[in-house]
Amino acid sequence: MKRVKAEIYRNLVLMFRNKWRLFDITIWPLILFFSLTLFIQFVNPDPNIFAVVIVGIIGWRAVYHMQIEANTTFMDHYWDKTLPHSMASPLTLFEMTASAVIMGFVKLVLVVCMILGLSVILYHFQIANVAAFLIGILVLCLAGIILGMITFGIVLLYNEHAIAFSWAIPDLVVLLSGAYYPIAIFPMWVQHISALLPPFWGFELLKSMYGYGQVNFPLLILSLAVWFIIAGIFLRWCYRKAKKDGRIGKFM
Amino acid sequence: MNVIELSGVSKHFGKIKALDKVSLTIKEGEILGLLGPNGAGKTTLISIMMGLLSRNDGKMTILGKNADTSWKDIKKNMNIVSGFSGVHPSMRVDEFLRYYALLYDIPKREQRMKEVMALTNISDKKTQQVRDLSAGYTQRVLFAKALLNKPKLLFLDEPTVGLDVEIGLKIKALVKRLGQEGTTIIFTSHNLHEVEEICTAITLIMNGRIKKSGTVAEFKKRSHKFMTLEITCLDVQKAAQKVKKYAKDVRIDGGTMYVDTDEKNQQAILDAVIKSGSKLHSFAIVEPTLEEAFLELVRKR
Ligand SMILES: Nc1ncnc2c1ncn2[C@@H]1O[C@H](COP(=O)(O)OP(=O)(O)O)[C@@H](O)[C@H]1O
Ligand SMILES: [Mg+2]
Repeated sequence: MKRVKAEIYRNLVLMFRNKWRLFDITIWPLILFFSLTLFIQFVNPDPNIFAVVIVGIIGWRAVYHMQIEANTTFMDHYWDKTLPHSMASPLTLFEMTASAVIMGFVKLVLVVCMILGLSVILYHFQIANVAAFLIGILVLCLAGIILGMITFGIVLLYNEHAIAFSWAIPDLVVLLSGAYYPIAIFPMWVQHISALLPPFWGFELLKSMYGYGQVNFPLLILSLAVWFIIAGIFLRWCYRKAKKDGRIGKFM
Repeated sequence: MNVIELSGVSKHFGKIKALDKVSLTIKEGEILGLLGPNGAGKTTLISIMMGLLSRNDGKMTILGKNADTSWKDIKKNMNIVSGFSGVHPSMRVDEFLRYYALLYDIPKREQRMKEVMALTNISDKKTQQVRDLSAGYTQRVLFAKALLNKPKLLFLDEPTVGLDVEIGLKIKALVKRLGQEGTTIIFTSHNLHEVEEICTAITLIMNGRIKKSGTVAEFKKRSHKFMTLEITCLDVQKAAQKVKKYAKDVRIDGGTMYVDTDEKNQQAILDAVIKSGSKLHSFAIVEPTLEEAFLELVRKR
């Protein structure tokens, strides 16, 4: 627990020292929020569609924040050449990932509060079903953690060469999961792929509050469980391989 | 007690054999100089002993514990300073140390941080960001970090690389003192004078294999077969003529001559100087530096 605290402390210091990092929980989500809501307001659709877009934005941020943190934690260590020091301490890969999950969740809560607040004040938005909303966000958080574990593994193996890749994967997955549109707009084979992705079910749940989407709970739980196991095994395998190839203790 | 016991440790990166059946024991309180040319496998060996790199083969016991099952315990009691590692530049010195104090779960954290900053003479920079510090200070911050957990085993991988002489000296004094306090230290350096001064034992590693292990004195003695004599006498030129046939090389510098020779010719040379009638003032064996001994070993391959 102390070691998780240590990583969080380090992360917080770096965040407040490099102020542009705060953009991630201020400017960028605001830009995403306003670019979409202003556009929707202009099109002036059914209020339910408006609501779907707002929960979609929140859901996307959930995946993003839960995914990105483990990657940035690792890259901070990598660029600043502190990785060998920290990995030579009793810190484990699990603790490092856990601290990233906690950091990501705290940032997400701030962002969700901000977006919800603005939506309520500016657009009289209402959460139709608090339970569905919370479960939907939780599912997307777990999906983000899964994606984070997978991309973290890739970054462990390919370091800076994998950054662009591992930053792009989650957005692609979210896009395929129908963040604020029905996946029926995709060709059939893409729909089949989408249905295998945990984020799809999270977004379905959020959309279902406003009458657009159906959730198959057994499939939701199954896809989460299967992907968690796959991601866990993959991350472990990557860590072992990185340790074998000398990517953990490299003093460049 | 042996702090480290390695037997038959091998490591390859694809086709490169970085370590080939390395066996090594290091006793408690020893300051071991790990020497070897670039690419010999020093860093690879250190990384394996720290659990940062997995090995292909061999047994390893560290601090009396099996290194396959007890890394967490082992890691609590060791630490590292490397000349090629870093510090988060935007962190302040105290923040950086606090982070590691938390990682090592140091009791009385702030107190211990103060102690290590005092030990490494960085107390005055406590609240400065690391990016504003010189290379020498940054390295001392890393030393402070490495002392936080009072390690029983300390790895120093070229800790003085790229530092100016003065800082190098301070670090050397610190390492010496830690050794006297009973910390087992494994030290690699390109600077052989440094190793000679600090280390109690030396292991020479080349192409992933251990070439020789021994004390500094033993390392030097091996090269005594070829020794240098320093002779001063009244007529050096005349004496030099007589000595020549026993010597590999004779150099004259004012009233002194330096004679490189085989150990067994020592007596013959002394006799020759006396016989030449040039009135001997002094006759001494010049201690070879570790560097000479080392070069000789490396060349012998
Ligand atoms: N991560 C790695 N991947 C591939 N080869 C490596 C790696 N690390 C070290 N090597 C190789 O292993 C050998 C030993 O390297 P190293 O232990 O760094 O030597 P030293 O520290 O003695 O200079 C060298 O041939 C080096 O190129
Ligand atoms: Mg090296």
